[in-house]
Amino acid sequence: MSVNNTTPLVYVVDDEFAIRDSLTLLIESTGQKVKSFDSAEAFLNSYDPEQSGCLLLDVRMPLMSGHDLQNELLNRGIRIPIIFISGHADIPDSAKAFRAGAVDFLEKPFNNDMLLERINEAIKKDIAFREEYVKKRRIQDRINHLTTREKEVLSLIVKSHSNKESAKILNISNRTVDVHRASIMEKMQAENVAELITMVMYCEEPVIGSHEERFH
Amino acid sequence: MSESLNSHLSTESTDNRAETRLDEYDETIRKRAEAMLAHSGADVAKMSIDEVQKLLFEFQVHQIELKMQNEELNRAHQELTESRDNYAQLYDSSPLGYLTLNESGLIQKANIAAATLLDYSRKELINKRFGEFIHPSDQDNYYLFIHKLISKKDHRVPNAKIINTDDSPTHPECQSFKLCTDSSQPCDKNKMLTFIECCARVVYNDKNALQIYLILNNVTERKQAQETIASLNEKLEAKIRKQTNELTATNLNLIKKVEELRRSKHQLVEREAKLNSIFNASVEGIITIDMSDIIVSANAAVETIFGYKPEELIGCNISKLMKSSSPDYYDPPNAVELDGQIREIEGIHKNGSIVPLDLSVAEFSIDNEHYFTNIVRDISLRKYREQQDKEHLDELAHVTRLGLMGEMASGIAHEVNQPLSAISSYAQASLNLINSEDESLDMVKLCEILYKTQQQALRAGQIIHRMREFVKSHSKHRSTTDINALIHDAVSLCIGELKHNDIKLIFELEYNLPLIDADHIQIEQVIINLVRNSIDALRNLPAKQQRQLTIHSHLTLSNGIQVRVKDNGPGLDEYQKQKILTPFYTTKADGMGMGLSISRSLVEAHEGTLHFNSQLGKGTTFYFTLPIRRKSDERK
Repeated sequence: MSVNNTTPLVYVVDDEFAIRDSLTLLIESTGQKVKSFDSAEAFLNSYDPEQSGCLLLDVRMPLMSGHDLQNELLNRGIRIPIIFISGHADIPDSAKAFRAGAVDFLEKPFNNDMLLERINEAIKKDIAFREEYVKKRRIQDRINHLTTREKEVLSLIVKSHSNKESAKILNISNRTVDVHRASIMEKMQAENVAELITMVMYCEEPVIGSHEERFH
Repeated sequence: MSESLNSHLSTESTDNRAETRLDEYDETIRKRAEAMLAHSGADVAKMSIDEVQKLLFEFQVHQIELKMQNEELNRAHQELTESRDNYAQLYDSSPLGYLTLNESGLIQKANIAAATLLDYSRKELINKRFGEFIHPSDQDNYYLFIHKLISKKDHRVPNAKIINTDDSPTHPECQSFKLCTDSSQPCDKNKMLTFIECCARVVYNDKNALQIYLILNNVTERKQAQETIASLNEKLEAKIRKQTNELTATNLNLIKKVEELRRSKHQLVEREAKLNSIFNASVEGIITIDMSDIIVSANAAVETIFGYKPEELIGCNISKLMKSSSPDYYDPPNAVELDGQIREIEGIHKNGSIVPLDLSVAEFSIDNEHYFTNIVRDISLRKYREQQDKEHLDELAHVTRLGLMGEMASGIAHEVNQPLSAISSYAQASLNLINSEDESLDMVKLCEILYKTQQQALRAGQIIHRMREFVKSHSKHRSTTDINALIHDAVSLCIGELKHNDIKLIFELEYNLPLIDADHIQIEQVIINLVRNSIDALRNLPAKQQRQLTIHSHLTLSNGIQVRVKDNGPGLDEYQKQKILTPFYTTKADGMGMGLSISRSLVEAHEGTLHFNSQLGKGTTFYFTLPIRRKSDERK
């Protein structure tokens, strides 16, 4: 995935034609690009992960519901911001949606201005996420290039252990720890230990609506 | 002379004795005459011749006189002998026994008949005591009789009977005799006795000795005849007794029969009394009519029902009480077919009002005359209650519809929200189009959007309309409807919920079904209840499993329309199966538990039935059947 400059796309998934149609017309009238699907399956089949944008998703649909699609997207590692639109604004539904990382939950009929605003926010979020994602990916790539011993030393550094402590824990000499540390600094392209820790922390920070949280 | 007369009863020996005595008499007379002559003193020798001659002459005359006297005597003797012989003849040949007894009861004389009777020779009998021949049991009577005879000493024949009983005729020495003074009653049961009757006379002979003359008459035969008669009498009596017994037995039987008859009569009376009391105490009117529809009898209850007194009705035609224009017109030939069945008819009260009645007819016949007993029950109250029940059901249905609507509100709101949401978006899109800086306004697109907006508004309006209809307390009741239209209308109010619960709805409707006559709101209510019930069942399915609800309609073989609402939910267990149709049973936290029970009541109010079948793990099907509109209903 990379940050590209193509116009973001608003996906509309709703089994109800009138909703799809009216939303398409409305969003298009603000100059956004819209692509609508009458079912979750149809959306999954034509979704391009490279395309930035957001998803307007109906909760209740036959076969695959909005929630099902949300989970499926998470499973596939797709982090597209989701705005749920529902006839029912019931608390369990919205809680479920938010827990799985939905950016918003709008009840029909919705305030059009608010909807459009939320769409814009979501698109911004997507773009930001995509940038963040790329950054994290870069750091992660660097971490991935460390040796196993280096990874162990790194985790101890992050936990603010001194070299001495680390040597003791790992049962190696201080000198060896110093060698690993220098290698880590180089591989991670960090100027100092503070930057290194920030980098690792940033990388480990969960993205919005991460897997881990979903399963709690 | 008197001696010979006195001895006229003597036998032949007596006769010879008489001859001898007559000779002796002649000699004696000679001697006496000679003596007398000697004594007279007249000596013939001393007499003159004249005197002698005179004497001689006298002698001669005297001699002639004597000779004449003698001749006369001889003649008299002869006559006497003749007479005596006659008597002897009579004496001996008499069938009656003659006995002569002396004072001490010894037999002095007996005739042949007496000897035969006593079975002794005459000689042997002489000086025998007659009493010896008398049966011991009669001896006392005999001696008393003899004593009376002697003491009275008169010559009267006593009015007495002696019955001499011979023990054994072949053994005369047997001294079994019987005597009764004034009756001929048998003294012994022994039939060999000889019975005699006895007449007696007491006479004093010339020696002044008492003699008893007994005349014995053998009455054995008479006695026997009497006995025969007596035995015959006895037999007759026995026969009579037997017949009497038989008659008595017959009589007893008759009495018993009479008793039975009396009892059965009593029972009949009792039964009649019972029936009468039933007849009169019955709340149901009982009217009996004959073949020509004329009222023969009516009970007291008839007055309460029709206002006529029973006596006013007797003789009237039944049509006075039962509406002739009514399609259920009272018709005896029909009545026979309908024997025992209960029909609802309309009766006419005296005041002209219509009385709804239950009528049952029973036929009976007496002496080839057919009668019909009409039992009528005033069902005004029941009708009123039925009407009330119906109204209550309607009210209840309405109240539960309101409740149902409450439960369905969010689902319906969702359904309304859809078009509203679309309208909102369309409108905003239109505004955006109009407000766009682009000079060339796409009018075609705008019109299209506005048209779509209108359609959505109409759609929302429709849902609201249906909802309002559904909760209305409607006054309009039955109308002709197509069941499939009702199904669609009902389901339209459930779409939100179906969607909300991710339930796939499948229609399996048979088209061109006959119309039904129904209160469409109530039938919609039933369908909605069933659909929502299925939705609740399907909610319990795991999320991953496809939830399906099928609505099916078809025409049954028995000309009914069946609607089936089928889900693939978890099904019902035995306890739920038992409870599910009862009021206030619910598995839902917020449910009233009235849905299914009221659905059943509503279907039944439409003369239909509601049932279900369910299999654990496979699902449940509720189905109801409604009668199709009958041709006959069209007239109404």
